Amino acid sequence: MAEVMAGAATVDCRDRETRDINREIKRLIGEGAKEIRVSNPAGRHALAVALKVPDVRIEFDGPVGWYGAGMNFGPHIVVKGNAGWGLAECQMDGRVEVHGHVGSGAAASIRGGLVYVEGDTGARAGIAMKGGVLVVGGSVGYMSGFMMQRGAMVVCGDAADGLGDSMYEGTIYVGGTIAAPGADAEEKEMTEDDGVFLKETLSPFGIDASSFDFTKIESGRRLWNFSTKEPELWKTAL
Amino acid sequence: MCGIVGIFYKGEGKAGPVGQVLVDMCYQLFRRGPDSAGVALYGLPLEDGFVVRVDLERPDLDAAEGEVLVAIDEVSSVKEASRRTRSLRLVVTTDADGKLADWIEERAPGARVFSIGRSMEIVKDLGAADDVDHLYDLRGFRGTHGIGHTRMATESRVDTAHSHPFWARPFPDISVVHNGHITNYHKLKRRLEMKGHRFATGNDSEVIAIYIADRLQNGESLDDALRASIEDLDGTFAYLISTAQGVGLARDQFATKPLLYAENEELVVLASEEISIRKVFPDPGLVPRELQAKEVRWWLK
Repeated sequence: MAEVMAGAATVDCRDRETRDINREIKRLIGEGAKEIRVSNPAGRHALAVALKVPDVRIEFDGPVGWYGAGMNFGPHIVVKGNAGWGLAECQMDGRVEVHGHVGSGAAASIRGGLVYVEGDTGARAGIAMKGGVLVVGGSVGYMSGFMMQRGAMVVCGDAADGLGDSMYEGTIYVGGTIAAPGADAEEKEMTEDDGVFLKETLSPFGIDASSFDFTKIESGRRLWNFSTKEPELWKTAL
Repeated sequence: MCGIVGIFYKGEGKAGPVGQVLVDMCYQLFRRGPDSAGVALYGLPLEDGFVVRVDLERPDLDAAEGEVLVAIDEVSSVKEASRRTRSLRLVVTTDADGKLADWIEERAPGARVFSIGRSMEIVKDLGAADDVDHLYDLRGFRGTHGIGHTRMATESRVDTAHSHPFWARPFPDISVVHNGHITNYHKLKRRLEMKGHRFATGNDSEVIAIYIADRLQNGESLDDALRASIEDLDGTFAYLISTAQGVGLARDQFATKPLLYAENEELVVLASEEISIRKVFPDPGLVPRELQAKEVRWWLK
């Protein structure tokens, strides 16, 4: 069993079940660990989930699987590798950094905090975000930002079809090209505040916001209320 | 759900432990589909003759094997024969212009021909990949490439015949594994039946194999066939199609089912989840990528 030494501890996932690993992480946090290294995660699912601790840093030395770092309130999770579907799903607050690629549904329904993906994501990144910030260094897949309700998504690369489809509120910035915006997703004028936000959000990751020509996407709000005058819009939205 | 996996060794004649790789990767995805598991293994192609894999669903296995051998002798001849539990492996001189599978099944009740090819061998059964390996010793198989599947049945019966991979019968060496549900299956099946194709099962995934084989037979490239399938297949799918030359894959327009690919100079590895890839290939230099919506890829010898 791992022990806490000067606030730090190491957990080895080899030959262990997910539940056992998560229990060990919680036990170490209970014993005062502030810095936990997790080796050999090898793509296991649902690691480091449901943690309500503000000042703990957990670093995975390898890829995590689906639903990693989900439902957390506070911790700082770092993944040195890929992450699977549903990364940081429903995060209330905290910070997740993935130094690799992420599957579909990255930062789904997050309410707060920050999710950073160094590489690309699959489909539906930032789906139903209710707050917080999602930063993607690479490109995002099909229907990203679908039904977004609040928060911000910054994509340095390209966005596939259906970006921001049926979004209510929130803002999406895209540094590359947008294959096609989704229903009711509209390009808006960049303001000075947007420039400041992008600079401040991206600089901690060594990304120079001024090297991109960002496009800003927000809701056109034409789907907020049903209108018989726009049957075409509703036909595609539904 | 269902889990799908694949391995392809790059370069003419390059081979590796295909059986072991597929079984280990498939078993990692066990919880995606615990009903049945199977693999399509591609060995070094025979210059002369065909490999036939027959499943004997009979208690009197020796008698069933005898009936199969007698049947084959009328249209072809058997060069090698071996049997492990109910899976009969034969090397025969000819597939009788694609008629051999029907010929065997008509004359040997309970015998089902799972595959015929110069290099392809399909083995599948109920249970996890580990169980199937214990029954048929798949781990020892060396080959150039292969695909595997672990099934959670949503369509058609849970039995050995309805397990994946499916052979694109009677086309030698073409097989498919599929995660998803083809909703226009009946329409596509009818259309292909009107062209003279026949279906061995009532499973929706079989239609993908016949659909691709039909296009390849008409001279289309694998790339064209894969792209056409994205438009013609309705429903949800991530599938792997394998031929004697290599492996292709495609994902539906909504990106509903997961599929990852990772490649280096020597090999390509494919799986529904990274946990499956990492069990066999822990090298962090091999980085899996998720296939995007409507994306197709292929690797050929």
